[in-house]
Amino acid sequence: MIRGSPFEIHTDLNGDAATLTLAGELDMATAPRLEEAVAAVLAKGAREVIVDLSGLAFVDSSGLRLIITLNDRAAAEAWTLGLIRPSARSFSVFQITGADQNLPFIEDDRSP
Amino acid sequence: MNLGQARAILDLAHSAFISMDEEGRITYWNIRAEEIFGFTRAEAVGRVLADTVIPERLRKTHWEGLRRFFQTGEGPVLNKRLELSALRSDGSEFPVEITISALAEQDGWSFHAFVADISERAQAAQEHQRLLDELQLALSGTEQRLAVIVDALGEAVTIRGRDDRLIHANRAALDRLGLASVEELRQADPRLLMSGWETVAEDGRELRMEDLPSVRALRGEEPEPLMMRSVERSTGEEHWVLLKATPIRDASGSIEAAVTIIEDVTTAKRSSLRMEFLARASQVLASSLDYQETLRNVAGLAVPQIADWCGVDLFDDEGEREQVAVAHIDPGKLEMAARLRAFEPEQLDPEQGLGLVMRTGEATLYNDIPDELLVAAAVDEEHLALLRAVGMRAVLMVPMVGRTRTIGALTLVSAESGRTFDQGDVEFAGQIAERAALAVENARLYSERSEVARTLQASLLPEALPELPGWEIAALYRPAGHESEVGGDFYDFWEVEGDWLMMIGDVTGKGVGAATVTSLLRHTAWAASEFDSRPAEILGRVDGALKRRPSLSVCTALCLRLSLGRGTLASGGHPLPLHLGEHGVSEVGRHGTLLGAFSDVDWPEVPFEMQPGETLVAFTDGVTDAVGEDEERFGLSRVKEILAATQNESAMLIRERLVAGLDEFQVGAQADDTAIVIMRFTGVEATSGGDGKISGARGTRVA
Repeated sequence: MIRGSPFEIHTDLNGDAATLTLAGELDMATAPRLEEAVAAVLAKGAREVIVDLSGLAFVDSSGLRLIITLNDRAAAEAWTLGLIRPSARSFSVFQITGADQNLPFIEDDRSP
Repeated sequence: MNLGQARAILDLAHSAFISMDEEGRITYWNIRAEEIFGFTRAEAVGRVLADTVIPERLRKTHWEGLRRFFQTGEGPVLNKRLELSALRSDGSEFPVEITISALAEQDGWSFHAFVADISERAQAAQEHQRLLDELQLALSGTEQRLAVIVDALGEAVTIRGRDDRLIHANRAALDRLGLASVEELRQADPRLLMSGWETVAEDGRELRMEDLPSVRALRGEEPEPLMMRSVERSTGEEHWVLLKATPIRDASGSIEAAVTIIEDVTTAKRSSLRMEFLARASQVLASSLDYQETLRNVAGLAVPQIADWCGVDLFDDEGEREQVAVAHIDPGKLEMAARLRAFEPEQLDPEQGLGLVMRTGEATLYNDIPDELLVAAAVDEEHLALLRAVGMRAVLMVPMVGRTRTIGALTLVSAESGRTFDQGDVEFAGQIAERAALAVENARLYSERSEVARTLQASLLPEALPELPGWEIAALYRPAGHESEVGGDFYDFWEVEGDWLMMIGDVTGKGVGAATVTSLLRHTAWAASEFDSRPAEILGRVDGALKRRPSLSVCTALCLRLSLGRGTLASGGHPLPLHLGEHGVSEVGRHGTLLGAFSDVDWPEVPFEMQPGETLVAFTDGVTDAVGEDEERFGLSRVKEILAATQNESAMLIRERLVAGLDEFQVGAQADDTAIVIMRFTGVEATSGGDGKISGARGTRVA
């Protein structure tokens, strides 16, 4: 089915640090795009991948599963994953599932 | 049938078949296209169609037409036969006949064209025109001179005099008319002569003598060439002829005769009719998985151009037949078919008719069916009368061959049109049957998959809800999406040490993969509960089992242990259940980490108490994530609102209220699996000594 707000990823690669800013709904349909975007910045040499969640309107279990997978991969492949600025709606999913305690949520050191 | 399979068949087609995407690029190019245009598939696919096969002066029109189609949805050139010029790879131009159709696919429009090289036909038409012009110029003289020249022609030519009688015909025309000499022709009444044929125009309109170009030319009109289908009544032979006439004037300038050149275009005309039919039938067959309806549509397309009747029967493994479709242009006649059907046995006779086709897998053709055959086939007088009323001239039955057996047959019947079938018809019908068989098998495969999914799904849910003394239970399970997919939500109840355990959960993903994980979860939870039935312990075991899987398998699950009036629960990343009591609606328990994902976690176990009349409602995120207008989510607050309004209602009624609320809110198809379990404590007196155990439960362990 078609949902209203389109999923978008804005990629900002600076040296070996990449920031992916997400907007819209991260779900079964859109999760593969985030996976591709991360693979793309890693291929270009990024070692630190920050995912900005402030624009996310919704995260479903597939989206959550992908973030867990990325976190596992980061540990295995020696790069770092950081999650910043979760929107209230996306953060509730992380809270309910206890993922807030187990995923690398970090303070955003940039001005919002 | 998907497009890929349709294309595999199209490679076998006798016409060139080309597909184009929205950008105007060639996406498909069959073998005949390679021959006609001189580009190989590898060369053609990916190129811009217009730059490849369309002459430069026509390209602008092509792009404008495409643009207009996208803007207005209007495609005046679609689905009709067009005669156009096309370009070969060597830059030469040639005339083609082309039928274009547009298909809406998931990611946009695609365009498909059947193309036939009609160079020869076009040359012949030019040649005839030249001939007519020459005749007109040269023949201002006597009838005899006319006859001499006409006789020298290989074409069938007739000359009609002022009184409408045919005064001359050359050998080819006499043969066509079945006459031995010009004398015979001159003596024949022209109307009587014509009545030996059934003559209709392209649109099916019956043609009388007044409609013939020669007769109209004699009246001083300037008739257009006439495309006529003629079926000789005595033999059933069908021909398509193109009649062109020109008047012959005497010295004073008044019309004294009309010359007609008769061009037999049967082969070309049939192939173009078939091409048209195949294009449409392929579309219809690819359009739906409801094969019964699809076959009915194809049968409907076949009449009356291909045959007077078209029927489709399917055979099952035991050789029983099921008539799926029967079509005739006149609905009144269909009733006759239904009555006929009542006389036919379900079990087919392997020695004749459909039974023979099924047994041998080969086409069977009966031309010129004699009355004796009907008498032999009829079971009684009424049956015979019906058979005679149909007036069958010819019957052609071709097998629909599936992967392992003949799955059905396509039957074409010629009756009132009086035509017979030839080898070309047999081959053509075979092509349709091949496509139809593929469509049926695909649709069946799909529904088999759906059946497997349903069975698998059923194995992952309790067959029936158990009866728990002191508790009233209601549940709902609604998988999202295609019925061929297994959902990822589950719930279960089972009895342990006199108490009951309830588990509800959501496995990420769908399909067989998710079903495997669900199955693992249930078995692990059952086994774990034999040793330790505390919810947090059970979640821990499930978490461990998931982590032992080779790929990341995560799930959320809520586990409750129910006693009389109290219980404990733990959540593994699952939404907490809602407690509905006198003081309103509130969440029970504490959030815990989802299962299978992280190391070093444990799950808080929280006790709760229930007063009689109070209810616990557990659900999966399909409820809270349901999508309404403007992508709004149903959310926890709406669930609470609905529950708050259901004080003292039964579990069943609470379920109905939730379902009604969801259905009212939801827009479009349900996006996610949805499971709801409602547990209402009714507080009937304990049957045991007050230890809080639900002993003597009548429910069975669900496994």
